[in-house]
Amino acid sequence: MFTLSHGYPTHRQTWILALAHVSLWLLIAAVWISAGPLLWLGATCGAAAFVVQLLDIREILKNRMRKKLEPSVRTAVLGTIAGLVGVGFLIARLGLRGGLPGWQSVVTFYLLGWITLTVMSYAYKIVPFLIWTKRYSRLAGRQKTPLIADLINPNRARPVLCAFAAGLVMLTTGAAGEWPILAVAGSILLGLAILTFCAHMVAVIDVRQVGKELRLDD
Amino acid sequence: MIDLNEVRAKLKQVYDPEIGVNVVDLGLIYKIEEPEEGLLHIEMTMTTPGCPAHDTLRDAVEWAAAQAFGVGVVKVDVVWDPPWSPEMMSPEARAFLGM
Repeated sequence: MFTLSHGYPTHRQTWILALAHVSLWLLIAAVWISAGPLLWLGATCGAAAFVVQLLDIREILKNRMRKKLEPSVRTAVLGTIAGLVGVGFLIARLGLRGGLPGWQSVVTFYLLGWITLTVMSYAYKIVPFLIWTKRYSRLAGRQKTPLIADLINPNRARPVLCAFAAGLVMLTTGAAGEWPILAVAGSILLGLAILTFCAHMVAVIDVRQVGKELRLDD
Repeated sequence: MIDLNEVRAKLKQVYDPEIGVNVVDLGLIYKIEEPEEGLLHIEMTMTTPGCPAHDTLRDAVEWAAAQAFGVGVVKVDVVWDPPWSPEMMSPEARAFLGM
């Protein structure tokens, strides 16, 4: 939808969902019954799900009509790569049988790299769309309405998402290598990126208008 | 008698909020006809079946078309055959999207 892609195969999406579910249940079962082989199998299925998803994304991008990708869409792709790298780290840790700092870094990288980065990236597209629909959809065609991109310039996401990605690498590398200064610097960068992201979302939502809308709804 | 060119001009004021191109140049309007006096029938499509702006665009097209002179009733049908393809866009829309 965000890249206006047409004519790409969709059969991979079924596989992605199936592999992700199998991976999740295998990993949960492995932890509950302390079965090492299931952990390996779960991690492998997880890695396969990300690989298939990246192949699917490649097809979508190959068939896109909007040649210029917005920063948030680019970062969503980066988030998927981070997911694959995170699962790769999990498999590496399983092989190396590393200590707690290593595991903490893997989990942090996965949660912030895959989940948070993906949610933040898509939020830059979805939140403005929802606000536009609520405030302007009734006026479309009747009078001049802003475009979704007018609610927040898509390029404003670039420094935020870049800072977040850099902070993530610094934090996880610093934590894994037990270099406190790097970990703290990464955490500060992550914090600043998240604060700016929140400020952007508040600006899109425009709290003053929300107050009026709530009063009108009453 | 409805001036279908006027209807088309009215529809050019309806923009896809995500893409920033009007529905006519985007090639979403398949058919504009007046099967009987005062009745306007429009066939349109969306860029994708899961388009989240489906209802917004359909309602906006209906409202904009109703503003043309002589229009009594507007009937808008959203169809999926033939499926929309980029070849349906105007040269201006393609240039806007960098194609």
